[in-house]
Amino acid sequence: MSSAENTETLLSVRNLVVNFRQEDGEKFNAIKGVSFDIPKNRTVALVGESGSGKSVTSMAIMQLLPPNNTEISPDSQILFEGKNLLGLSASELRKMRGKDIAMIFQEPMSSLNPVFTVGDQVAETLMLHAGLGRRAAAKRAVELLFEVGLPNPSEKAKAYPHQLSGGQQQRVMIAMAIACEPKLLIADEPTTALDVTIQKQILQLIAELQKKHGMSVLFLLMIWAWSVSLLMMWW
Amino acid sequence: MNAIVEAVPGLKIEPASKSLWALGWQRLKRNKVGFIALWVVVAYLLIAVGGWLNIVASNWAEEVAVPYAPPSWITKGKDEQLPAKTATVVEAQPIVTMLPSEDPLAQELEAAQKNTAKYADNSPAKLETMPFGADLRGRGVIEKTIKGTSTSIFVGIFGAVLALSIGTTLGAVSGYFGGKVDDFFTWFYSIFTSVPDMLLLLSFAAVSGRGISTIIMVMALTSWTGTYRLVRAEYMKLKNREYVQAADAIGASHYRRMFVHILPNISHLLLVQFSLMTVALIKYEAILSFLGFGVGVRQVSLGSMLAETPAELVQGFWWQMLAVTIAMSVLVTAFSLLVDALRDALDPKVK
Repeated sequence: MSSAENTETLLSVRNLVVNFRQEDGEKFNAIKGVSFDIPKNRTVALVGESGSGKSVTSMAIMQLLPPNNTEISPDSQILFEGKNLLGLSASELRKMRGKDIAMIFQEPMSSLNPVFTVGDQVAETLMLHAGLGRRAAAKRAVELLFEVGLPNPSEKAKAYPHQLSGGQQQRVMIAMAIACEPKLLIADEPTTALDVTIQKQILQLIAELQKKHGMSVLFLLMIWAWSVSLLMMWW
Repeated sequence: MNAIVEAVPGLKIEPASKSLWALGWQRLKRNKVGFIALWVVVAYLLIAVGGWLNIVASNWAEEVAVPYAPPSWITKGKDEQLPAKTATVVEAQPIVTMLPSEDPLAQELEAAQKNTAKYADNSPAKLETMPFGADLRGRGVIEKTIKGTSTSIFVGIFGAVLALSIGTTLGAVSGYFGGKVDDFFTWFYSIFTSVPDMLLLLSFAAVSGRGISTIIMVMALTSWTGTYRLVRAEYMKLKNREYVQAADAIGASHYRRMFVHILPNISHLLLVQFSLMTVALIKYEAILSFLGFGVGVRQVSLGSMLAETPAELVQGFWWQMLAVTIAMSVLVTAFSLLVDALRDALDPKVK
């Protein structure tokens, strides 16, 4: 998908091998040597049916796989701006997650904490990474909610997740993801849990934000049709 | 309903649904028994706070009445009443008559006779009856009960807070990290719970002596186990929820995920657990004090009052026992009913 004028690579995955340890001591080889590049300011889509390892790949990039029953082979490399993410310490990773690489999950309903208002949850990322104070973060959160097209954002910021519809929840998740202007946004089937009209709106929103903020986006999709329409949207 | 909301973007259903706590409050208000119980508990708590701040019953230790003064509303039968007698000063007759010059104590006696006014007991006369009777040392039963209730609630609440924090912290660490950490704490828990509760409580109490702070410590150290198991299970369930993963994905630390993201999600359980434990600890305190391991001798609690009653009952002085029984059973009943109502109100599964 990269065009001629920009071939600078943001993230390159080299020979990624992920094994799951099983109860009986056997290893299950989930990812068998995946390699791909994501250029700067471009969108890459991974397409495949469920169980093909898309999510595991994205989790491996974020280093979110549970460490006690997964192992990433030592030959694998995940280079983010030339830095191997697999060699980073836990605290270095924590600094990077949410700031340089952000993620949108499949199920917006269960990805939002039910006991906090959505405004608080968007503000949390800002407080953790941008060093904003509580009030500044809350103000910025409302701006972000406006940016992702939530109607009446200052009111909605005070709403709890269950008071929003699925599409609105996914917009909140996107606002959380773009809060710190990440260089790479991983969207793990962001539309699977939504109905068709909302799916289109969400994809359009991500496309707009990608252009506006100059992010790279890694899309994980299950259905070819969406990837095709995605390509139409970007080209 | 949800399907409609999602299918029609922009459709709003008024009024907006309320938060868990607002809904819980609404449901609690609908529950008549629970609501009355709430006010009874609030009244008790006010008395308790008044007792801690020495606003009410600060004079409970004053010995204002004669020992075992009966309640003033008891009317005695005529044959039970002693004939009224005026006190007369009886001059002691010397057994051996001695001349003052022979008596070695004569001078001191004479000096003492002169100073009798100085050493006279000028305190007001002890009351014959009290509104609800008096105890062995003539202290009013009402004041004593209020102060005792206050102490008991203090012990119950702070013991529960401490036990809850121990149980929650261990349970959170254990359930969240799992693996070896979990094994270690579960192993510790299993050994701890294999010892009978009362035995553990008594042995801790016997080692650490008497007093309010030690009794709080003792009860917290022995009663964190139920909370530990509950919190551990909840953390095992919640740590894999996507919103916790999402918190991981925005770079939240372990501590932050444990206590900022997961803990508020079990706060309703902790509230119910707290109320349950407060009731249990009030009862435990009574048992401990009754057995002589409780509050210090200068303090009073429902348990220590109860400990005095067996000796009183054999002599027919029943008022202290009645007062303690009423105070404690109303408190425990109201608290239990409140817990029941709270659980119904806050658990989204029971509707």
